[in-house]
Amino acid sequence: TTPDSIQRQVWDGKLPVCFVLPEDPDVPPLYSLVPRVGYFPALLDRLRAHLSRHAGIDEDSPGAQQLWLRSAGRPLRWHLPVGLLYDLERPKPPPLPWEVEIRTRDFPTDELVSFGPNNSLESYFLYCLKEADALKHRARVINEMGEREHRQLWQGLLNDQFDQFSVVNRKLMEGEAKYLPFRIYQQEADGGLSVLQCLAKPHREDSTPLTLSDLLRICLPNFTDPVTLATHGVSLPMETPLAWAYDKLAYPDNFLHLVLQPGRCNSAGDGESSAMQLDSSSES
Amino acid sequence: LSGPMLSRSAFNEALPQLLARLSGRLSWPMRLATVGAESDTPVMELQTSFLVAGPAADASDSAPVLVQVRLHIGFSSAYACPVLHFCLSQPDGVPLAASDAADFVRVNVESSTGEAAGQLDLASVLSQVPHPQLGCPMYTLHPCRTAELIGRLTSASEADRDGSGEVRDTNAAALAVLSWLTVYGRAVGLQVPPECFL
Repeated sequence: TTPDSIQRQVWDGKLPVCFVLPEDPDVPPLYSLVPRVGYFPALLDRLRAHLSRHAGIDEDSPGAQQLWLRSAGRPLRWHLPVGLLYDLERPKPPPLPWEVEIRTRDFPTDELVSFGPNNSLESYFLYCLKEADALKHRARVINEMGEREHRQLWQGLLNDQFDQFSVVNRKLMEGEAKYLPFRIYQQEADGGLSVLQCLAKPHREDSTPLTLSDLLRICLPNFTDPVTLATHGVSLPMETPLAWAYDKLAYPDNFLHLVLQPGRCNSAGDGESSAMQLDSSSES
Repeated sequence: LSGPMLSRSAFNEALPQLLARLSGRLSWPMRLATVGAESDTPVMELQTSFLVAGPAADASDSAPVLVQVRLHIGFSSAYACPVLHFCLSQPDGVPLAASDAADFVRVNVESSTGEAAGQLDLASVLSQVPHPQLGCPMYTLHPCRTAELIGRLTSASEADRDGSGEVRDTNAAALAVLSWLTVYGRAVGLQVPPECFL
């Protein structure tokens, strides 16, 4: 199966971000168009270079090495894709460009994963891919791939090379999946994040496709309030088959990351400027 | 993947037996706990402290340092097998720097397996990740080969498995987890006494 235009649109989605350094207001902000499917720690080198040039903070200094990011007063859980973090912001996604604070002190070691030479983002990305393939194919496909193909997936993502990424990712995305990799996120008012993951097959017992509303019944059996599931800034109708949503809208880490929001789905879409506009003519 | 898989319920039921087998034989303080939003996910927590050699770079002043290890034994639904998450910190609670953590694991694995330093590709199997229920950063060993490993290690007979090939018998499950711990526990200096298998 060749990647289609929805998958390409998902890949190409970007967010304008404005990185500021509150501890030194004279330092000019750094503006960047960041891929929604990418990760903030991939920008650490650029941020350090910026601080070195404009804030006199040497790249090898403890401050630069223990750099972290904050938004709306809370550490950014940067092991999560950029777009997901944006969509999780409460009470609603911030105006664009998204102002993100750079911090050089008091790294929250009990809250944030620390990425660096001894714990690489690439290794974490591979960890996610392995788990997704364990769910889909008992890890057979990812384990059959050599290190070269694992590297190609990462390099493709890092360098925004969709074709380089897709030619390998295709192998992970094709074929019958035992369970579909997904996570449901809910940002709590106190800043906490609840993450739900459970085992979901692509089909119900009667072989009809499992829908998102079936998924909610499995994951949140006692939940009765009207809610919406959204991804990449787009609300999904509850009758959407999970397998379709997974195939079209999974992130490069091979997970479908869904944000739980109160209220009914506005099936016309939310019309937010940050959201990817799905071209409905390309729905299969 | 061939070999017996473990179900979550078999794992949950095996934990008390695991605790019973290890208590009194392993000196690490240990207990059963629950994690998760509805406290519905059982784990086993163990902790201890090790005196390890000081940083190699400072060979003239290699005073031993105390490293606190906090271990969680949980279950991965994705891999249908046990999974280890651990924290490594200084006595004051400050987490070990990533390079020191990697060194700690490397030294433990090498001393128990005798593999030379250069051949061990730790980076591809050791990661700091958010704990699946707790959310806080913890180290883990990628479980990708675990199920395969359990299949080779366990002596579970056909009678212990149900139609889907999963290990159901609690005793067999506890022994399977113990076998797994024998291998993976080495990364954090945990040595399972052979008497635990009796």
